[in-house]
Amino acid sequence: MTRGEPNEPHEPVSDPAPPFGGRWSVLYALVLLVLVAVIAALQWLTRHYS
Amino acid sequence: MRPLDLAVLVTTLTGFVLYGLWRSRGTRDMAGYLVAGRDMPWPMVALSVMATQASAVTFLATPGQGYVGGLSFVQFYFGLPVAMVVLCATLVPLYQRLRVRTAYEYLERRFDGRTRSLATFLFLMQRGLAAGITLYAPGLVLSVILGLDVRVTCALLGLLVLGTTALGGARAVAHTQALQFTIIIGAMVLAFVLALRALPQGLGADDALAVAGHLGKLQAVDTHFDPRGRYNLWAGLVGGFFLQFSYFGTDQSQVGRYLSARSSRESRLGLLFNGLFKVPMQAFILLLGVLVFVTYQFAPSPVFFDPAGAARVRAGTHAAEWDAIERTHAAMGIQKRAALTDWLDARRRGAGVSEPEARLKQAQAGDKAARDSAVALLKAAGPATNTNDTNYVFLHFVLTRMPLGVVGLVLAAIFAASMNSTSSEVHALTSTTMVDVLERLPGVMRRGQGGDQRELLWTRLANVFWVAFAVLFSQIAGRSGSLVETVNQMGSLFYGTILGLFVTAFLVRRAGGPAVFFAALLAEAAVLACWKLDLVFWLWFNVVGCVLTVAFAALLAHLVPAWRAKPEQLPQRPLRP
Repeated sequence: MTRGEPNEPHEPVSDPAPPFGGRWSVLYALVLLVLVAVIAALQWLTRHYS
Repeated sequence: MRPLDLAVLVTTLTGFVLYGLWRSRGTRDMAGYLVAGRDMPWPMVALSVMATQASAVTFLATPGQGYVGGLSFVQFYFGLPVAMVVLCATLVPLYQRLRVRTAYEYLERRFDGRTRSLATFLFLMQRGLAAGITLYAPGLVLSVILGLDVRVTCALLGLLVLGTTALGGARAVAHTQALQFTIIIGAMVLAFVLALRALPQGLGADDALAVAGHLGKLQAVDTHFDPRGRYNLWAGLVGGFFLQFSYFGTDQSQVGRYLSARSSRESRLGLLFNGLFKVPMQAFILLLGVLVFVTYQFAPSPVFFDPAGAARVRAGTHAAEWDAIERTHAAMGIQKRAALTDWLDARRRGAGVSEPEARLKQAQAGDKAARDSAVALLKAAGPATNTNDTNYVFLHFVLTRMPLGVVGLVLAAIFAASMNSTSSEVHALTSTTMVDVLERLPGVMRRGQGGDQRELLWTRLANVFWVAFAVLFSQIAGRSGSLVETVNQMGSLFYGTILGLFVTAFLVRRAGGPAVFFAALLAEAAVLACWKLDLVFWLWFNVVGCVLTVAFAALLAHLVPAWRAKPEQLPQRPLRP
């Protein structure tokens, strides 16, 4: 590790990709839908083979 | 170990080390060491994030967990995808916008230096303990293969980790993790296929699942709410969410991975990829453990999977009793196989299964009694003897039932996972110690003549300290049951409170440094009380720590005006960084 300025202030930078809206909302929904599908599949496995 | 397996193991590990060294060239400054110059694309971030979480514990202890407890452990991960989504919408853009090097830098800007110090201390404690556990898993493998004491192998591995962390940096960590994780997943898929082929002749996948289901190993989802129960849907979704959100959002070993991304977009895509694949991956590894369980229902297995424990009893005064227990276990195994074969036959024909079921229950009861007697003998052999063999199950399966060459590959994958995860943890611990502790101590990081050498010396001392800490704690971790549970249980003692500090920063605008500091101390005391008094299952510690920190901070800020935040400390755009 080389030297760093102790607690130097870092200039905030603008974020070109806002955290919500558009494609991000679709991606978030997709992740949650896959979770629901996996839980449903596991529940089916639990019931089918018990 | 056979020569070909040893050759595959040595060649693969040497390849990893050389690849890491090649990739770490050009890292010459602090930004390069800490955040890889912030130029990583999202696939690299995704694999690095997954590899950091999936240590050897995942690939050694999770199949063992599947063998012992079936699929129920998968519920532990249900909160992860939700945590990834919330993280992508809140903390990730904030960290990227503020260009912080560690998560705890943010706390000083929002609150004060004391709150940053508290979060740093809690992180160093829990991650230092976890590093010990991730070091123990490959130490276990080495001790079984080489016949050495696990304490010696852990110390050897600690030295190797020390070498890699001293040489590498965030860039080397990300690149080697990406390569290793690909090989690890390949090795696990291969092990799964070979485990399916290891099933007895005539036993298909459906039969294997039927046997597993009948013996209670496919209880994947439990919708019954019980705060003291082990794994259920609600503990997984709510407790798991808080644990994973805290782990990925405030644990520097993960924050350091996605801060190396070239933009907020790349960080978020990497984390969402993790959210998509983590639960299916864990279910797959647990299912591998269930398959191993089914295989051992139709094939001989040791009464206790840890060979060192069994050898210790055999060398003592209880050798004759141990032999008798092994004979009983073998006899019960034959009865179980016969009963299961008849049960499957009756199931296929649609005939009554009550008679083979009764015989199966009888054989299971006999086998359980033999196993209990074995554990009692292990306890009698000495207090230092390990009585939990969950972590040895998959290892035994690999060493005894995998074909030539594949054993070496699977072992290399397990080693790679652990070395990488421990290196990542030690890198995070060292970075946090440097940035959040030593840089802030007056006089330690003096600029001017000799400053660079002094900083290098401190970095190396911090590296040595954390590796030594991990090696020492690994000795305790080995006796604490399933490694995969222990590592998360230890984390849960601190994660909730750390997360509470960050949530307070966003949600309780009025709270200032003193309010949140004392709130966190009170909340941590409550979590430790829950643990000591066994009030709730450990996944709920994360919820308790977080909720109490936020609630106490709001209350204290309301009661004590001097403890409220100053206007310049407040976030300008809460929840929309």
